[in-house]
Amino acid sequence: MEKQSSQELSIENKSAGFSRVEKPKVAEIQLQLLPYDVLRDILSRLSIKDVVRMSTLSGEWRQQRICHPDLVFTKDTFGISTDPDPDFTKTIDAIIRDTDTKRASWTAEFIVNVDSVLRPLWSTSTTTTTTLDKFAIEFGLRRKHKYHIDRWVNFSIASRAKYIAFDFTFDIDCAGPGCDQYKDVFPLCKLSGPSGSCVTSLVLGYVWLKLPPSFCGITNLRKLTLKTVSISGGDLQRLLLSCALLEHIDIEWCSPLSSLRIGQELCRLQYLRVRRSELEMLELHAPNLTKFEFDEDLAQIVLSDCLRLSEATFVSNMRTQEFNDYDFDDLAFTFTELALPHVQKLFLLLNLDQVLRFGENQTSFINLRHLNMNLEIGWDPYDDSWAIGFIHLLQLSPLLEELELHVGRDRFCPPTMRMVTAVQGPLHHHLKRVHMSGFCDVLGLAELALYILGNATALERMVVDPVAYAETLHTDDIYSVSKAGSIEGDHYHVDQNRMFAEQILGSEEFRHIVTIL
Amino acid sequence: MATREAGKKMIMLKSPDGMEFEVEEAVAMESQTIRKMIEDDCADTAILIPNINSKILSRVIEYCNKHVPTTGATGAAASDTVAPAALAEDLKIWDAEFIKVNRATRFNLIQAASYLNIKGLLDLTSQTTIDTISDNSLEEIRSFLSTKNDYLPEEEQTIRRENQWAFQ
Repeated sequence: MEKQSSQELSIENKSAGFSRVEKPKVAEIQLQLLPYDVLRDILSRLSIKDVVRMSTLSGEWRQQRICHPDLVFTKDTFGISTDPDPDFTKTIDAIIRDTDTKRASWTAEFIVNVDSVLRPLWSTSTTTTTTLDKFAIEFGLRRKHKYHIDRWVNFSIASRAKYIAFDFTFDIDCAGPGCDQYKDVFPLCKLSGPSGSCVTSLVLGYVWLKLPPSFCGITNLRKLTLKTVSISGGDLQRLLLSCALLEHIDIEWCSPLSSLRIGQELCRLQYLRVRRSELEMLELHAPNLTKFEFDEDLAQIVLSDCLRLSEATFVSNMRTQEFNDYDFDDLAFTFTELALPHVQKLFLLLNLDQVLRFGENQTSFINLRHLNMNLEIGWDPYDDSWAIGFIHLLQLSPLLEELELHVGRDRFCPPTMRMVTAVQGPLHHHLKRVHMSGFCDVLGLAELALYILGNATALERMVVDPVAYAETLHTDDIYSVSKAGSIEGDHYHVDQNRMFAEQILGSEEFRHIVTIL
Repeated sequence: MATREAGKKMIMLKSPDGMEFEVEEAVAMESQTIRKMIEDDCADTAILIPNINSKILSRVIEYCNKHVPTTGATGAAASDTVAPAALAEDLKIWDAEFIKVNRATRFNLIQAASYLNIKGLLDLTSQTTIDTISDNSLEEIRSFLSTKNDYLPEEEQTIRRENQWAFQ
């Protein structure tokens, strides 16, 4: 037994010796002989371009039909230049004509190149033996390219891709209701039923969705993203209800949706994001929803039976609106209700007027522990009344422990000599930590800080930073202390603002709590 | 076969050519495949590793020995004296030295890493292949992969024309 094994070993050593001197007959790296999973893993780390080059190495390689497992086609895949590079010596009309010609030319190039990759992978005109993880087309295609879009949809389904994206939002030249005619009516029914059962994640951009009566849902869809998609409220409701396993919904710039009210339970839904879709009313019953982000104008949001909703973000588009008499009646400046009774962590981006009105019809945040308010100051307030609205919000959150208040960069409040006295309000028994950034002499801010110092009986620490970080006008990102260090602060009048903070909050009685940065 | 030495559980690994390797359980468990066997209690005595000869297996064990997380008595001492960044740098240098092997060995190591499910080793061994394919001309890739160009000239021209974008 021992002998035999040592013999085997010596044979092994011999063959190893052969390969060390690299005799040509010894198999070196025969990549295509690797286990399928390993080959796929190696291919997935290459670019599509590299894999296409590899597939053309030899006739033998070509027969293997090797393919990148993630076919994500963008202009960069093919190095297509999409710079219209207008000739400004021409007339406007001529420039538009030129741009149209160029657009047609780079689109044609894109289509030809996608087809060159797919051509060897088709078995018949509708089937393929290639299996993919991802299939994505991210380019500015329109209804006139329907023939190609439909073929690629067929390919994506036949390849059993789990992630499918047809995102045509690149280079949008026409937005708004009048542009529906340019959007491809996406053949969603092809994904319906057994044929689309591999798809777990779907992204659609700049298409028109009309659900045929026969549409019966995408069986295993977990994640749906719609960007600049034309869809009616009724169809969206049907789509969401028919995909029974949906966990993650992301909708932005979709229309025409005036309201989304779904009476039935969306029992798998965990994450919901709705942005810029002109929704006025949102009502969902999603018992397992844990995270919610909303970026809209005026809306009523009812998510009252979302028992597991722990984190919510509300960003109001109205933050950028200037206050004036003309607007006042048209735009009520505030949503009527944000019913999120179970939320524990709440991120808000509001303007001062919205803060003032926040509490009017608001039900309590009875479970709220962490509140982060990014405050937009588009104009200087006339008085400190918004701070009273803020105190009302604190009252609605009786268990709040942590407060972040970040004043936006657009603040024009050079300190003046004035009396600052705490605004009046009730005691708060749970608030332990407060962090304020962008601290300055905006009417009401120092008054609010003094209120908290005087009334938060459990307060352990208040950090006051005169540098502003929140970019309330230009981004949808909410600033939070956890992002500290990654964002360059705005140091406008920082010394005066620090002095002001010292003057109001730096007294001996607060020294053990307040830190001024 | 499993023995205890200084409080560390040992595992016996057997290659198909009859060689036996005694290794610490923690080292063997760098392989997800072996970890699963141990956790499922299929590893009472010796574990036979099919398809991987002793030469390759010994190299795999060498890799795992180096990469096993430094915990426990000796490990704690090591991490006290050496900063994590320096440790990572040291590992990188060691990896670069480790992978200086001929193509056949590398190919076998890829297969072994795949079968034994050792992600770090798989990344390391396949990276050279990936770099070679990404950076080189078609001819160089052909020679690296020992692939013969069996196209007729006109065939090759057609394929190049069809995939022109990939050759720019």
